Amino acid sequence: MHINGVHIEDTFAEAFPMTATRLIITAADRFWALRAAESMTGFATSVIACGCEAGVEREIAPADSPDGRPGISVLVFSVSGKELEKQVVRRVGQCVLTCPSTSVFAGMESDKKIALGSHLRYFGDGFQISKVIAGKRYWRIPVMDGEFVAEESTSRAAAIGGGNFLVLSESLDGALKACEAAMDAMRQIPNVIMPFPGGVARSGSKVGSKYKSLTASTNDAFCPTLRNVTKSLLPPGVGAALEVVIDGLSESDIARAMRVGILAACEIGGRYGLRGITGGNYGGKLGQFHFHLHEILK
Amino acid sequence: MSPLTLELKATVRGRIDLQGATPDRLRELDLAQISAWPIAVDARDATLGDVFEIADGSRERWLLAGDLQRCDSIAANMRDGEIVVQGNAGNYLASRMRGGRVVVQGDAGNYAASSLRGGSVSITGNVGCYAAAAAPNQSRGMSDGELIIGGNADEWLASRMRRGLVIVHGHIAAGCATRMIGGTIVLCGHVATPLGSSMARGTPLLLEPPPHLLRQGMIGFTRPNPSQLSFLPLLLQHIATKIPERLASQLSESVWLRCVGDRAELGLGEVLLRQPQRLAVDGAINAS
Repeated sequence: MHINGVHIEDTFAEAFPMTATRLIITAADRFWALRAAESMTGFATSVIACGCEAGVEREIAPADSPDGRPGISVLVFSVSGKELEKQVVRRVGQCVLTCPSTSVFAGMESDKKIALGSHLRYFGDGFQISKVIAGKRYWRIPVMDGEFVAEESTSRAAAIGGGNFLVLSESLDGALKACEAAMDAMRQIPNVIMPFPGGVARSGSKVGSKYKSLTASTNDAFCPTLRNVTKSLLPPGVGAALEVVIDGLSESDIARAMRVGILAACEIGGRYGLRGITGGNYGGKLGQFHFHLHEILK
Repeated sequence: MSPLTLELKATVRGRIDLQGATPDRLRELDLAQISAWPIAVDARDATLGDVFEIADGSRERWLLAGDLQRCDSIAANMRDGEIVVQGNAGNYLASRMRGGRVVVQGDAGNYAASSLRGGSVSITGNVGCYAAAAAPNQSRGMSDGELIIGGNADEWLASRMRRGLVIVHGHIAAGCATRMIGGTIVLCGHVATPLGSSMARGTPLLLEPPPHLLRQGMIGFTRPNPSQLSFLPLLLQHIATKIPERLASQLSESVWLRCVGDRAELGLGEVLLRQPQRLAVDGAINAS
């Protein structure tokens, strides 16, 4: 398959099950809501070492936010409900509670709850106040700019992490251009985040390592500098590969984001030396979800 | 389907106690069984059929008609269903009710919604003493649900209230929020003092506080202080359709002063005083 002269490899990208929650962070204005969201989702690129994967999903207009202020929707993914709760409480406590004028609300509803305000309230040292409004409990924690409002809990749902595609280009500049185009398009898709810096990882990994303590190590098959050293999967002429990684709430969300991203990359890619698109295929060892590129792009 | 209609017979004299006669308990009964359901008149045994003309209809929705000021405990302990009272209701309306909906198109007596545990109660007219307060033999007042009073509220409104929302459109007599433990009271009319005596927690909002409260505050409470209250937009959004339109339209342009007390008992209740923005003191911050 070729799109705009770019070869789409007949392969699939592997992804694995996760659990996820959505938080709505509001603030006096967009600037502070975004600062809190960026801070909270920092150092959350991979569950391998960060405990969770998190990112900004979208901005929320004041009319659509719970308290009528500008808001940011954030998605947080982790490997278990327990770990997700730990990460959410820790990150909201350090990055949202501390940010001037912010409040935090649950962004999804389900039977599976994880703590939010119910844990953070203890910061109030006994001066915290609970309020039940329209059936939802909120905690009001006195802080130096007034009060921090946090909904009692948020919900979590089954989700998928590690959806991906690899951009293979003649040069790093070309690969970056293609990824930037892909990211611009994918950020419009709801229910997904791209947790790596700018949505893109250059250090794509393979499962396992020669070192026993490591569960993942550099994907040598896609490293241009190892082309003649290891069994390379880079087509001739490709000088740089970058991986776009996607976490989403469902298979269809990830498939949609991949489709939009690949099409956007291919649209401009030809001009910048984009040679091919492939998927992170680990022979079925990584995860149960397989996103076949040709099917997605039909 | 039309509601089950119970019309008070003109010939009945004395105080009627409707304790236990609620839609959830009579849901499975036929009309004859409903008619034979035991109630009390002046503490003597009687049946619903003795007191009311009953017209068949939905078991979920009841319509009570007639001079029901003598009918006590309407919807008391109710768990589910809907009761509409056409006219005034007696004492203990919806007392200890757990769920469902009650609408009174008139006044209600003492102890309306006392120790309410859930559901919604709406009274278009005035209420007597102890509305949303602790019912007799109960240590706590309203602990969940919603009470909306279209008229005035007599003394001891929401005393010992634990949780839930009370809205009063009219004037409020003295003793409101005494020993309040939690919950929210929205007071739209003139509020007599004392207010919030021995409050431990909870939030009375005064939408039209008397000027002397804005200036001097309340005995036992901290001085009125302009405060940034991030939870207020959530609450105001929730009550906007439940308060008089005249006030609802002003909420977004208001500033709020906060008093904490009753400090005589180390209480951390908060009384929020609304102030039209044009009267705002220096430094006062808009709620939104």
